[in-house]
Amino acid sequence: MRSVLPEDEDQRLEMLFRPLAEPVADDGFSATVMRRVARRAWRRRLVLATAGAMGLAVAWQPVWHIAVTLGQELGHFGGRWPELAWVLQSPFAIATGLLLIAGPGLLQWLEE
Amino acid sequence: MHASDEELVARAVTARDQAAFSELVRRHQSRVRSWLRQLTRNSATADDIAQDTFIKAWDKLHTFGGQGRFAAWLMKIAYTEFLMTHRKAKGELRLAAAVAAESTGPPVHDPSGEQNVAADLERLLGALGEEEQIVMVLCYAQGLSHGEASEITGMPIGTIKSHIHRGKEKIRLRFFPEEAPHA
Repeated sequence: MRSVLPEDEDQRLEMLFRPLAEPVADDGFSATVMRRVARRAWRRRLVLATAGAMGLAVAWQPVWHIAVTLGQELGHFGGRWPELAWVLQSPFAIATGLLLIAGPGLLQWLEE
Repeated sequence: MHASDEELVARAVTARDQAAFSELVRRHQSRVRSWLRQLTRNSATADDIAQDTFIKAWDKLHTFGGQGRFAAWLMKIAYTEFLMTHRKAKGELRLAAAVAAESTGPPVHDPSGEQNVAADLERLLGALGEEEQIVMVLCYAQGLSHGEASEITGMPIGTIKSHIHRGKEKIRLRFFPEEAPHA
């Protein structure tokens, strides 16, 4: 062992330990990992979509009530902006708007 | 053009670019798997832990702040995964020390014989304690700095230095006794 080793201790240790750092052939390892990553990404999208749909189902009724109340309040502004009157007085449009505002943030929070 | 690790991480985080992450896996799989094989002494178990390491890395990629090397960040995840698996199956996994400690006697080296190199390594590792072994392999086989070894193992840098100092002393005493300082 001694005859082939350099005098400097750190170099000598690097030489002694070198066989432990020999490259390991990929042999399909990376492909296996990436298949798992892809499956995981797909599962995440599915879970998010399901959670989004369930959230929508649960939230629709209270959001609808809010939209009806808001529609009655906003109805007063209908005279000022006649072109917007149908939106301001439509609970469905208001509820959809509220969900579109809050939904992406909630989904982001859920994902994190 | 050859993208740096940091550029690939940025692409994988911002666009969830799986091709960029795939390149990172290809670049680092050898180092991670060889390190885990040293820890587990079992290539199948090591590869399972290595897969979990990369999956966790994919999930937590946004937490890599770019301080330090990506390789060291990855090795830290690998070490944590190894410890978790090791705790779960204490009886099944063996650290290198447990096996290597059984081999005794001075190293017999034949420059042409690969088996002798492996036997030398076994004896070399057997002379070291578990933590000394982990630290010395990280620094001398994987080429990581003391700071990176500290980050990976969670040991303070002073402890890393003292493990290296003690490890060197043990190797000197055991294999190069004429170089060891006499009392």
